[in-house]
Amino acid sequence: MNSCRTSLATTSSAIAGSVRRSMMSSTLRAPMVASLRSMATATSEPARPASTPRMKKLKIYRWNPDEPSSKPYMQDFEVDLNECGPMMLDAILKIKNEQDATLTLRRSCREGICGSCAMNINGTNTLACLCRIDTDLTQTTKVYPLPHMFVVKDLVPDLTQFYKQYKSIKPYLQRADYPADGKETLQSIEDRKKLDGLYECILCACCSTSCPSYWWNQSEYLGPAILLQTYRWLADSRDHATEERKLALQNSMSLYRCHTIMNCSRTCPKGLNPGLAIAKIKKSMAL
Amino acid sequence: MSIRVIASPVRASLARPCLGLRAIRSSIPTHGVAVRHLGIPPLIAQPPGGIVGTVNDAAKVPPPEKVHGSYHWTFERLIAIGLIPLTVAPFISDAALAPAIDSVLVTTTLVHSYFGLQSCIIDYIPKREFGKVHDACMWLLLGGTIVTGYGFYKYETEDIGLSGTIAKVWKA
Amino acid sequence: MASLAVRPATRLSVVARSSRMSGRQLIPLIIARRSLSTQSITPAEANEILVKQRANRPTSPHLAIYKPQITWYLSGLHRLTGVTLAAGVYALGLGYLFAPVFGYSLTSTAIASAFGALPVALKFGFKTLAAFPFTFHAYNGVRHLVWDTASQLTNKAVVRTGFTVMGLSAVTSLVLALM
Repeated sequence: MNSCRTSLATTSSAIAGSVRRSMMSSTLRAPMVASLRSMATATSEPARPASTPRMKKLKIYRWNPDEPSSKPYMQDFEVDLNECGPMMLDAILKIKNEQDATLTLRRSCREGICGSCAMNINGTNTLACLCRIDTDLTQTTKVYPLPHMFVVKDLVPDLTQFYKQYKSIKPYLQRADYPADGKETLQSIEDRKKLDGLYECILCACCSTSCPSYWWNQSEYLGPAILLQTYRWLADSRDHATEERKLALQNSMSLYRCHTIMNCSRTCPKGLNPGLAIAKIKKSMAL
Repeated sequence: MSIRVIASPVRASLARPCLGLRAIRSSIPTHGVAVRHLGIPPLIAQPPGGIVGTVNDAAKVPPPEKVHGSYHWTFERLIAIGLIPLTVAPFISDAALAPAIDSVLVTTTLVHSYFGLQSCIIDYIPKREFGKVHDACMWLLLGGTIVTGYGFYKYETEDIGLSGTIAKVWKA
Repeated sequence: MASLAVRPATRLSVVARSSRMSGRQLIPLIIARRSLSTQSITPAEANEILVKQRANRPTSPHLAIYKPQITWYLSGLHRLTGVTLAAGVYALGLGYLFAPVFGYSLTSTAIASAFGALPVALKFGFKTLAAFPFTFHAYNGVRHLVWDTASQLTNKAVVRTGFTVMGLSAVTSLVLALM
């Protein structure tokens, strides 16, 4: 199943379907976009004749696996902001709909909850759906896939290793026994509060791929996202595997390649703090 | 059962950039499978895409070794904390430190340097990609640090030590 | 082969709906679809294809395209200054030990007199070049030790402490260089 999905992403057979879907979603979105634009005109932007196009330049990373010997390149596109929604995802989908249907990217929810459209926009990793288009028309916006990842096609990075690492930390409740009454495992309000700022992570991989340590050693270093998830289970009062989880980090690579660079917390599109979570793990494991 | 779809010429033409838009090519700063560690290509071939096993296997968890884990980290911090008073000492005392304190300063500095450089080797010349070269670097660093330590032992006993030298040069 | 009968049929219905084609217009498309052929492969064979594709994949750009930020720039500077200082310490220890082998002597008096013979501007330059790595690495080291207690680790605090360390080390190294 899994291999089927991956190979679909790399062949052109997926394109017909995705164009259809994105076209549908853009027609559904059109009234909302129009109202947003009129709101912006009323509050912040000076009135202008609707006929003047506001062309925004974009440079987008392209690589096609069907031509494996060709090198990746940057392709220039222009989008009229008068005809486009406010977010980077709107602009990229508009290009895909109207200019180049072969432009390949992952996207799903368009509201920052699925984590699919993670990419590097203007130098920092973020979700395209949560990133406003820079309205300065003199500036070109550059779009790259998540940094230092193997590229499947265009803006689609291979996240296989990331998911394999997530699996390796056993991201589920581990207990020796469950309540005798057969009901749920209870937790105090204070203990539940310890999971705030951790459970919200959507595993978009923005933080991990912003981390230079993860760039150099992603085969062995778990990276900020997976370590934040590790801490999410270490901090859970209902989990009984604390010692086993810590023991799995007792080597030079898995945890201790973190040098507190803090690109992770700086880039998290959900406003979480993986760097702090990692510092708490290290502190709790000291000696 | 997976099904592979073989594209006919008609389908292939559908996949090409539509609307006759010509791709404008410009250079990409870094590219290439070989460019991994700040331009140092690995000596040991890595699995394609860095993936070992199937997509459904979990990444391998290394065997626990506290000496390379929490003990190492804690000792690193203790050495760094110890360096704070030792670094301040020459500034508040008069110029050169007593050889005994200076020896402690030099030893702590050397251990701290050893840990720092060791970290650089692990980051940029990792064992999985450089194998014996990684090991050689680690031994070279250990040997170099010990020899440097012996050099400073002679320097402390025959000359005026690290803090004394810096003070003397600064006033020269 | 088995799925050939099912999949093109469903695809066709979608195409017909979305483009509102007449029956006659659809005929060439049907012919085009018929030229599709499918081939059944085992999971092992599918994996083999995937592994071959992985070998072709380029690494996406990283260091050269990531936005300059105080977070990773100061981290890089911390490592760079640390390596510089370590190189100085190793050079002195090893130099003192091995200089006589090459017919030199690296005593404190020799180093001080060589340095003292330099013009004042050069002296000031060298002192600044030596003092900045030291002060920066020392202050930033303290910043890291505070972080290790899991405090001052918010985005705001990282920027604030970062600029504080930069300012302090610039001032201190200038003061030291003037001494």
